[in-house]
Parts: sequence; C-alpha cells; structure tokens
Amino acid sequence: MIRTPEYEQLPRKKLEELQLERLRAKVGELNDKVPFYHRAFKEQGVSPDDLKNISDITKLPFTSKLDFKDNYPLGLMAVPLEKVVRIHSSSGTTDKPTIAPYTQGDIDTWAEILARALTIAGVTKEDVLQNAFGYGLFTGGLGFHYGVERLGATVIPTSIGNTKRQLTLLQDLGTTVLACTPSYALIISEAAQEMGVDLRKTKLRLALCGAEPSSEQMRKDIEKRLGVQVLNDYGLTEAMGPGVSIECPYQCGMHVPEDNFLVEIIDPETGEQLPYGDEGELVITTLTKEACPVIRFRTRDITSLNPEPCKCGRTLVRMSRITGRTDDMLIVRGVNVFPSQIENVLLKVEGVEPYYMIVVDRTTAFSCSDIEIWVEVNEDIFSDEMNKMEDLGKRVRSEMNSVLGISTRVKLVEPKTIARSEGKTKRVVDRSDL
Amino acid sequence: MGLKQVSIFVENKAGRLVAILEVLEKRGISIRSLSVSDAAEIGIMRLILTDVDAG
Repeated sequence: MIRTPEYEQLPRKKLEELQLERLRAKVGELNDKVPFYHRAFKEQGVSPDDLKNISDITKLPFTSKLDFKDNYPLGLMAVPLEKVVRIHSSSGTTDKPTIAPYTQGDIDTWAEILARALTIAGVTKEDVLQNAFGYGLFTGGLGFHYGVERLGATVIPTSIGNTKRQLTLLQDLGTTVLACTPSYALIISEAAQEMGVDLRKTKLRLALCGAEPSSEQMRKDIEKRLGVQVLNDYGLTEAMGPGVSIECPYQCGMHVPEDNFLVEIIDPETGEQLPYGDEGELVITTLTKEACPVIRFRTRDITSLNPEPCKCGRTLVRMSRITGRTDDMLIVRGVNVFPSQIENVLLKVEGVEPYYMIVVDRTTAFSCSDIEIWVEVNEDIFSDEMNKMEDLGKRVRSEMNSVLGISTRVKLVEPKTIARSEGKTKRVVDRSDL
Repeated sequence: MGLKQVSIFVENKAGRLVAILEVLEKRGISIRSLSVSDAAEIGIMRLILTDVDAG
C-alpha cells in the first residue's frame, strides 16, 4: 500500500519542481530570520533569487555539526521559542549535544513522515509495534511512537532495556513488529535463547532496525536469530530524527521522502556534488522543517543514491546502506579502515559472533599505529582442542589481513568480556581508555 | 562407565583459575582432576568434578 501516492509516485521532474519551490521559500525565510544563515549566504554571495534550477543548490553553503556546536544551544532556530512545543537532543558522547527544537507543525510532519515510512515497510493498522528505541531526549523513541499512532497501529512504548520484560510483553501482547537498534536486536535474541523463548513461535513478523551502522551480514544474522525479516531505517537528529529513509520489503535501498528532504552526495574531500550511483558523503536539506531547518547539512555518513523507480512502485530516491562515516574511519599506518569492514570479516568466518571491539593505539585523531581486534568466544565456536582454537584465531587474522590490507592482531576473549551497550555501540576503543 | 568432562575457555592471564574456583566453591563442587593447556594468550581448562550435573 502507498500512503501518499501524490508524493511517493511523483515523476522526478515534477518532484524537482516541488523541491525547488520549497527550497527557494526556505532559503528566503532563513535569510530573513536566522543571522547565521544570513551571514553564510552573504559570504557565499548567493541570494534566494539565484535558485532557478534544482541544480543551483550547489551554490548554497554547507552546514555541519560544527555550526550546531558554535550556535549551541538554539542559535540556528528560525522561530521564536513560544512556537516550540518540544526539544530533543543528540547523545553528545564526544562533544556538546545537538539540540533539536520542534514546532507543532514539525511534530505533525514528523508523525506523517513516520506513518508513511512504516507503510513503506509494510506495517498496517493491524500491527502491534513494540518500540524498543530509547524514549526521552533521543529522537528514536518518541519519533517512532507518534508515527505508529498516526498510522493507527498499536504501539507498546517499552523503550530500550529490561530485556526480560521486553520478551514477556512480546509474547503476551502478540507483538508483530519490533523496532530497535541492530545491537539491541542481538541482545533480545540472546536473551530469548537464554530464557528458552522460541521467537518463531511468537507473532513477531518484522523488525525495523536503525540509529546505528550495521552491515548486510549483520542484518542476515539478526534475521536468522529472530526468524523475521529485518528492514533498515535511517535518520539523524539534525534533520529531524528517524524517518529520513526506510527500506521496503524488497530490501533494495532506503526510500527518502524527497518532498521533505533534498539529498545529495558529495566528495567529502572537495565538496563537489557527485552523480547518482557514486559513493560519497550524504548531504541533507530539509524542505518542510520549521523550527530548525538545515541547508546542505553534511551528515558525515557515506552512501550512494539510486533514482530508479523501485519494484514497490515508488519513485522516491533510494539510499544504499551506510557503509561508513567520514569520521569513524581509522587510518592504520596509512591505510583507511572502517569498523564495518572488520564486522563483515568476523561474520564471514563461520560461527564468529559479531561481538567485537577494536582497540587502537592512536597517534592523531584519525591515525593509529596499530589495531587489535578482540573477538568473544561463544559456545558455538568453542572447542576444547587447543589447536582448533588457535586455528580459529589464525583464520580470523588471515582473513582480516587480506581484506583490510594491513596486518592486525586478533585476540580471543572470554564470553561477555566486551561491554554490551543498550545505546549506540562503541566499537573503537583507545588502549589508553581500557 | 563414561565420565563427563567440563571444558572452559579462558584467557591466559592472572586470576582466571581463581575466578572459576570461586564459582565452583559457591556451589560446593570439588574438582577430582584438572588439566590446563595453554597457548600464548589463551588456555583451555578441563575439569572432572564431584557433581557432574551441577557442574
């Protein structure tokens, strides 16, 4: 089912007309109301009238997380505080958090975007969705919550944590859809195994995973463990929260509601816009947000875009899985390494559970001299023959070295050595922090 | 008669043997025989216990 065919099946030309009209209005509004944008447009020598074609968006300046930091907490806001009905915030683990204000209009738009996203994923009014994204400042919990209610399905606001209760409610209330981070989906499947709950005997039929990078192999692993299809969603606090894109059951890229978000791919080094299909940094312009719109926000996420209409009938552009972040890239003795590559190798070596940690000896923010990969030994891969255990370590190491192109050390550690996280999983740890 | 053996994966570092002995002690289980094989970083402990099923 398509909730809003007037947007989701719009021919590209018509869509671009709509985007241009909305972009021009938004740029004009920001130029008048937000001193930061007024200055930025002036410095770039661009005015709303210069936007004659959708490709003219490249004339506009970029914004980044740094601009949110410099204008902390609410310097980028385009409306007076009295119009704001809610404020969310990013976790801000490494820096000052990003503050995200919403008007009533934003809350309504967001709920509609999520209701549409859930429909894209095949969720209907009949479904019972257990929302195990964290409630509170994090956009994931409340974002999904309002979307499920808007759709008219049933939401169980379990939030994250208390995994035993999650499983009890999942069985007793007949949950059909589980929404959570991929790492929490793994925690739930582990707990189910420990409690002797066979998830295949429950009504669960679908899991929506997002808010954290994950690989295709991790998806397959979660699908196997939960016994249901897993669809990915993507979002970020600066753009709104969850709902920026989501997969349909064909699992061939995440659909972007382009009437609300204008997406581009750029070369992270030069800032040049790249053509469809090329991999690069995702840049988002919000077209309908009121309280805190963003123009050409650099997400630091690496992906590519596909404008071909999807088998599901939608013409919305599709984003490929996020393959890395421009800022979690490690440079090990001159070679670029993404944690996602390491995860893929671990999943490929048969039986190795995706609990791992990368211990680095940093020389600068990105560069490190050495990496050590800690892998948990679980029941499936344990053998009481020493040569088999040593062989496992060697196989992981040789596969790692051939894929990454650098030599690494692999350390097998006891079960539950690596901290389980209920929020965003931290995969890369400095040796000095151990 | 068959004997059941418990094999445990441990890291080769100080304190791992004590950690396992403490678990057994709490449950009042004794060890009849113990063998440990070790490599540079890992080890495997093989135990035959007084109470096989509790172990």
